[in-house]
Amino acid sequence: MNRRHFLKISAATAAAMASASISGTKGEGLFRPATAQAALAPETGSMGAKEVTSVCEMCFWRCPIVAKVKNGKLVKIEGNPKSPVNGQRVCARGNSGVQLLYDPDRVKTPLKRVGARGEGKWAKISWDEALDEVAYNMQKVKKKYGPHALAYFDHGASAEFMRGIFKAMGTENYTSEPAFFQCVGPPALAYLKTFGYVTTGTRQYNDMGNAKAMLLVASHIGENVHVSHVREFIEGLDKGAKLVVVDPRFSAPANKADIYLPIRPGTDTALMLAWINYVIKKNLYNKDFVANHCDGFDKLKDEVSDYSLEWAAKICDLKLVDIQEAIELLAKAAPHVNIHPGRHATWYGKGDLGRHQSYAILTALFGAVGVPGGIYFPTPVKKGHAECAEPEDVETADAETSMKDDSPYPFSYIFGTTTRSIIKAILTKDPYPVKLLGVNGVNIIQTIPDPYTTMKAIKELDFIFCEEMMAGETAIWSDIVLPDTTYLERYDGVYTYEGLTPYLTVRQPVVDPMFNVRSPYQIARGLAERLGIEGYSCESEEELVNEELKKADLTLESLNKQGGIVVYEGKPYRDPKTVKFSTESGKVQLAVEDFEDEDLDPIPKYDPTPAPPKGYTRLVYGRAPMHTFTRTMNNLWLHNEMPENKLWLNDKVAAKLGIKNDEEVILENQDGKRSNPIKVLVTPGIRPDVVFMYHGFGSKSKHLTRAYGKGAADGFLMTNIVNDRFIGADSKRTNFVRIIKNNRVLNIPELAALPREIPRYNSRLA
Amino acid sequence: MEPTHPFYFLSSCFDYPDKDTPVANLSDALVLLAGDMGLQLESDRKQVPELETLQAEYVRLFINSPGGVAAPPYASVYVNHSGIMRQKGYDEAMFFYNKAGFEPVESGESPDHIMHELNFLGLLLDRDDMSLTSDFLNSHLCKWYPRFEQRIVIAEPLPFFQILAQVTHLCLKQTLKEVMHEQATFS
Ligand code: SF4
Repeated sequence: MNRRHFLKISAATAAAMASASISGTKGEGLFRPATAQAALAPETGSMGAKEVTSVCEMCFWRCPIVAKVKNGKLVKIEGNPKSPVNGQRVCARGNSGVQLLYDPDRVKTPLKRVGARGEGKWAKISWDEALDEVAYNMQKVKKKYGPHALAYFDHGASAEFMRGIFKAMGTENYTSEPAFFQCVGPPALAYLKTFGYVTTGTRQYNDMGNAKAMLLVASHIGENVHVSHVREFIEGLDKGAKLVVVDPRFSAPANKADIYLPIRPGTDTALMLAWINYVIKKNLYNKDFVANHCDGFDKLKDEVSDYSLEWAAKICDLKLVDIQEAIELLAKAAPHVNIHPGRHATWYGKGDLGRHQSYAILTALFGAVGVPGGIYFPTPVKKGHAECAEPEDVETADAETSMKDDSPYPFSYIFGTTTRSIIKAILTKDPYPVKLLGVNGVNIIQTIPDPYTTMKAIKELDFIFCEEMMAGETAIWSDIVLPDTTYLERYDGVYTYEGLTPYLTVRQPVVDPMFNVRSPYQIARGLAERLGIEGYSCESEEELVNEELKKADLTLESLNKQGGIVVYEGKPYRDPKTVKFSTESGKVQLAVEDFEDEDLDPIPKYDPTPAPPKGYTRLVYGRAPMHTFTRTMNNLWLHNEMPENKLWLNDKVAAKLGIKNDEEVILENQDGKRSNPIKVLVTPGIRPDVVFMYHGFGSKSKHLTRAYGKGAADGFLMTNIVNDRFIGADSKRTNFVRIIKNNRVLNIPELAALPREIPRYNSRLA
Repeated sequence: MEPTHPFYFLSSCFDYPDKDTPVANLSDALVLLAGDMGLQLESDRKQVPELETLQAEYVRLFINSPGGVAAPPYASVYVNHSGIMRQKGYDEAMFFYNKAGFEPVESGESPDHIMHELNFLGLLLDRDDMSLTSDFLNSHLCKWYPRFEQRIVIAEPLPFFQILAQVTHLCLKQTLKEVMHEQATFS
C-alpha cells in the first residue's frame, strides 16, 4: 500500500516514538469495528426519547421521575406522571440532574492525595489500588487503636452500604449523620416522645392540604422546596386555609400570611408557651381529646400558667393584639389546624427540643392528630429486606466508655454518635481516639458548623477517605477519593412513601455510568472482600432490588411494566374516639417522663437565648429554592439561576451605616472570623436585630469552578456552638456579626430595645 | 513500520501517565517532534519530568484540580459552549466514528476525549480516507481543539503539556493543510 506522509517526521523522531513503544500500539486499542448502526445524524430535543422511571436525589425528598434518554444520553427529566405526589412536576433542582450527570468537574476516577490535606493535589489510581489502600488503613487503625477509632459521617441514599462495612468492623461509630444532628434531630425526638412516632424526620406526616389554618414558625416553605410539600401547602391556601407565619424575616410564606409576626429571634418558645397557656385558660383546647388521649395535662397547665400573652408580647417584640388574634384564628380552625412541626431545627442549642415539643403540645391541645389538616399517621407500605446486600455476623465491640451509649446527651444514641462527640474525640482522644474517618454524601467543611475545628480535627487523623460525586470540600481533605455514581447511574433499592398517598417505587440507572465511577454497593462489596467481611452476596443491584420487591409481590420487570410506581390506599386518619398512640401508656405525652428521668424538662420552659453583643447582629440562614444545601452550588443551571447569596440587611440599619443595596461587605463574627465578600440586599423585610443569608454558597473549594468564592458561607462564621441537651445537636443561630465595608468596621446600631429579661452574649471582642 | 503520522503517539501523550509509561522516551520523542514541526524550545523546557509530577499535573489539567478542572479534554465541553459532557461535540464525534465503521472501546473515558479523537484521526489517515478526514478535521476536531489548547495554556502547565498542546496544534494544522490541498485555514 502506498502510504502517504502528511507530516515530515524525521527518522530520529520516528525512532524515538517507536522506543516510547506506544506508537501504533496503545492508541489502536481505543476503537473496534462498529457492531451496531448508530444514528447517523445527531438529533436534538426529547421527542421520541426512551423513558426510564426512577427517583430524584437532587434533594433527599426523592420525587418519582421519568428520565428521557436518547441514543444513551439523558436529555430531560420530568416527574413521573403516575406519582400521586408530584405528577409530572420536578423542581429546578430536579430538572438540573442532567447537569450533575454531565458536569466535567465530577470526580472521574479514584484519586490519591499527593499534596497536603486540603491542598487538592492528586494522582489518579486504579480501583484496586484505591480499595486496597482504604482496606489496609481500616485494618491498621483498628489493630492499633481498636474498632471504635473508625467513624463514619454519612448522608443520603448512597451511604447505606458503606455503613454496613463500618458496622462489620465493630465500631460503634458507624453512623453519624451530621445532616441529622444539624437538622431534624430535635423535632424528630420531640414528636417521637410526645406522640410515639416520628411525625417529622426525613418525611413529614403533616396534612397542610386539608388544613383550615396553618402555623409556620420560621419554616420558609417555598424557599425550602420539596415538591409535594409545597403543593400541599398551596393546596391548603387555595382551599382557604388561614396562615400565621412567625419569622424575623419576611419569608416567601410570610408574603402569603393572614397574620405575620416578625418575632425577635430566640424567643419563639416564649410565644408558644404563652399561646399554650392562653388556649388552656380560655378553654380553647379539645377537651375530649385531652381527657381521653393525653397524659400530663394538669402538670402542663401548672407549668405554663405564668406565661401570659402580655409577657410574650414584650419578650418577643410583637403586638399583643396580633398574637391574640393569631391564636384565636388557629383555635377557631381546630382540630383541622396544622401546627407545622418544622424541619431545620438546630437554632439555639439548649431550647431547640422544647420549642418543637411546644408545637407538638399545641397540636395535641387542638386535637389536631389523625384528622384532616393536622398531623397524621403513616400508612406502612410492604417492602422486603435484602440481606444479601449486608454484612453477616455484625457485632459492635464493647467500649470501656461508649461514645454512643454514655453520651452526655441522653437521647443521642437513638440516632447514632453525635457529630460533635466524634470531632471532640479526634482532637482530645476522649473517651478514646478516633483516627479514621469515612465520609459519604456530606460536605463536612460546610455542613458542620465551626469548620475551623473540623479542619483541625482532620489534620489529626491517620486516614480519611470519602465517596463523592463532585470534587468538593470533603474531597480535597481526603487521602483517597472514591468516585461515586450519580443517582442517575445506579440502583439504590426500593423507596416507599408512607404519607397521604402511599406508593412504592425504585431508583434505577437511566444511563450507563460516566467515567470510571462505581456504585456505592459495588464499592462496599469490593471493600468487604478485602476486609474479609462475609456477606454482600448479591452479585448485582438488580438482585438486591428484586429481593426487596418480593414482599410486595413485584419484580423489577413487573414494576417497570406498571410505570415504575405502585400506588396504595392511604389510611392517615383515625376515629378520635379510638385512636391509640405508640407511647407506653398509649396516650399523647404532654409531659414527657422519659425526659424527667434524665433530669431534663418534661415540659418546655422558656430559657432565653443570649441577644447579640453591642455592635453586633444575629446571623441566621435558610435554604434557597434552587439549591440543595452546599451540594448544588457548582451546578450550571442552578448556578445561573442563583450564582451567589446576598446578605439581607434591614433598611433602617443600612441607612444608619450608609450601606446601599448591592454594595459588597465582609462580615466579622464575635470571634473575629471573617467571611468572603457578600453583596447586601437592603430590605424592610427583616428585623433590625438580625441578618440573613442563604446557605450553600461561598465555597472555599477551588475545584468547584463555578461556585468558588461566590457569596459567603454562613458556616465559616459559626464558632460559638451550643449543644442541645437532649441529643447534642449543634446550634446555628448563636453567632453574631458586624459589618466591614472598605476596611472599616461598622458597629450595628440597636434599633429594637432589649428587655431586661434577655441577657446579652458576652463576646471576647465586644 | 515507519510511522506516517504522529497521531497515535500524540493520543498516547494525552493518556494518563502510569507506572508503565516510559516518561523519558515519551518526553524525548515529543521534543524531537516539536523540532520537526519547527518549534524552537528553550533547553530547560526539554527536561524530563518526574512521573509523580507529571501525574499530579495531568490530574490538575484534565481530571480534577483547584480552580476546577483546568482543561476538560472533551469535545462536548467546547463545541457549543455548553460546558458539559455528552452534548453536540460528543454527538459529532460519535457520528464520525460511526460513519467510518468504528465504535469506541469502553475505557472509562468519554469517547470524545482528545485521546480518542487523535487516535481516530490516525485510523482515518492509515486508511487514506481523505474525504472523511477532511470532514472530521474541518467540521469537528479543528474547531474545538484551539479552545481546548487555550484552556491548557491559561493553566500555565508543565512544559511537557505545553509542548504537547502546541505540537498537537501544529500537527493538526499541517495535516489539515495537506488534506485540504492548502485550501482550508485553521480556525
Ligand atoms: S423536591 Fe426537587 S430536588 Fe427534591 S426530590 Fe423533588 S424534584 Fe428532586
